[in-house]
Amino acid sequence: MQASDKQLIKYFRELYNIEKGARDLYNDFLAELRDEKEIVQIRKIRDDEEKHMKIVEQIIEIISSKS
Amino acid sequence: MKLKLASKIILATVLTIFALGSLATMTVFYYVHKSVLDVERENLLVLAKNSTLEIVRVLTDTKSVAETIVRQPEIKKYFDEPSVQDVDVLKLLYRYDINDRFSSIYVISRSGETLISTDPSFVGQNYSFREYFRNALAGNETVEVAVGVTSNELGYYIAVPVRNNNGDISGVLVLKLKAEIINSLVNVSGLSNSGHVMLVDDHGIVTYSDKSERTYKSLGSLDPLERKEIEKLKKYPNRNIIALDYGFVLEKIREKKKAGVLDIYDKIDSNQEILAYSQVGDYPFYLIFEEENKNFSLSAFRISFILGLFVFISAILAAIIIVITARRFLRPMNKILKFLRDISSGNVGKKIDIKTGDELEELSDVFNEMSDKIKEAKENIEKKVEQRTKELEKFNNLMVGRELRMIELKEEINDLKKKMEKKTLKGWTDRFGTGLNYEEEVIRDLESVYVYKIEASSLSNEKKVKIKKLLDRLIRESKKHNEIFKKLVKKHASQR
Repeated sequence: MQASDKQLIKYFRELYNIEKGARDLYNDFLAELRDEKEIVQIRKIRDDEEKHMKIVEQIIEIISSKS
Repeated sequence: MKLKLASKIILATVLTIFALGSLATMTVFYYVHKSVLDVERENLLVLAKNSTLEIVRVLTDTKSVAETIVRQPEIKKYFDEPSVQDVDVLKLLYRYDINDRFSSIYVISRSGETLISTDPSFVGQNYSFREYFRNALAGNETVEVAVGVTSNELGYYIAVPVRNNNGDISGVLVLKLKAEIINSLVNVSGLSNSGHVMLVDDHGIVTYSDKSERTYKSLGSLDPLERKEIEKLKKYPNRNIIALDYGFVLEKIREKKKAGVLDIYDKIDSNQEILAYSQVGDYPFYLIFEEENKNFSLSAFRISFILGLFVFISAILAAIIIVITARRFLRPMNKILKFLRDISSGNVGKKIDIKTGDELEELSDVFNEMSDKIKEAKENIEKKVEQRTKELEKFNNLMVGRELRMIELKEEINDLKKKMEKKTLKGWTDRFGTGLNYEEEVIRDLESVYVYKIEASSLSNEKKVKIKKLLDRLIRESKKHNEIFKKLVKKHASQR
């Protein structure tokens, strides 16, 4: 793998951590929210963040792949 | 096998000269041969015709002698009271036998009986079977060739009717001319060593030839009726008449052609030959002259050989001249070739020096211009590449610095946020505000840094497309989250 690719993977791992941080924050929100509507919205956002984490993992996999 | 240009030119030129030269040589041979043969045919025919003239003269003179004899009073009144070997008539006959030309001069009665003859052996013999006798008795002067049944000698029989004072035919006078008299008149001096002559009668039977084995042979096959007629007339008694291979000439004689020339293949001699035939005046004899073609082919071959030799020498000289000339003309081409090889190996800026005053010099000038332009273009490209590389390096350093700083800031913000969330958060307005900040930062990073990084990377296009698609989704959904957090912040801010 080229050095530039390794650098890219490092950036996306940072992104993964940010997405993970966001997910954890929204989990904290959900633990304390009382409004049903807001719970639904934040849960949706939290679930999206989990998906984003998977997407970033997918991107890292693409960069790492040989073909 | 690769050939150099000079070799190709030489080969093409030499082959062309050989090919065209050979064609010319063969054409010349053909036409010269044809012309020579045409001339020889004409010559042979003239020779044949001229050779008959002397024979005609002798036969005609002999006829005149015969006519003179029968006009003599001794002959005219002889048959009034004929007696065998009448002294006066015999003396008369002897008088006309000049130079021993005649085998015999004799007088025959109407019944065919010989009454008087300078050759006593003829006396009492009956020649009524002879064609000359029957023709003379019918009033026609006749010349005929035959072998004598009495003498067994070949001779030319000139027969004239003997008329009495009343003009009635009372008998026949015959002068038998010796064959050698006629044969000696056949002139072969105009023929080559391989040429031959034949004297034939109107049945095509050879009565004389320089090739003695041909005597009493026929030119071609005789049909049975003709053979029977000849036997009946006792023209050539006790002679086995075998056919030669000159049937074509015999046909012409039968067609009563007076003269002509034929090209034949003689199977017996295995030769291509020219035959010229000519009738001896109006007499029933033909003179045939024969020559082999190869005698004439020789001169045509000689001419063609000289031409062929000339072609060969020309081809050699042409090859030598072309080698010298080609080397001189191809030297500038080699210089150009070397120059182009240098250019292709990156050695630009070189010049070639050709001063031939023709298109090659123009070509070299154009190539020199081209070399200068290539060198200039190469230098420009190198400068631009250097400049661009420097810019990219600068930008890269900037981006890396920024990214590192952004990562540091994010970490600081995350710490601060966490601290703030735990210690100083004033309700949901602030908390949702944190969420909003998170999303905004993610969007900013994705749009400005991550997309650029992927674009500028060395990944394959396929990977770039896939990653971009995923990034677009992240950006899209983060923007939606952004909107939701904006509304939540506004809602809680208004409730405070």
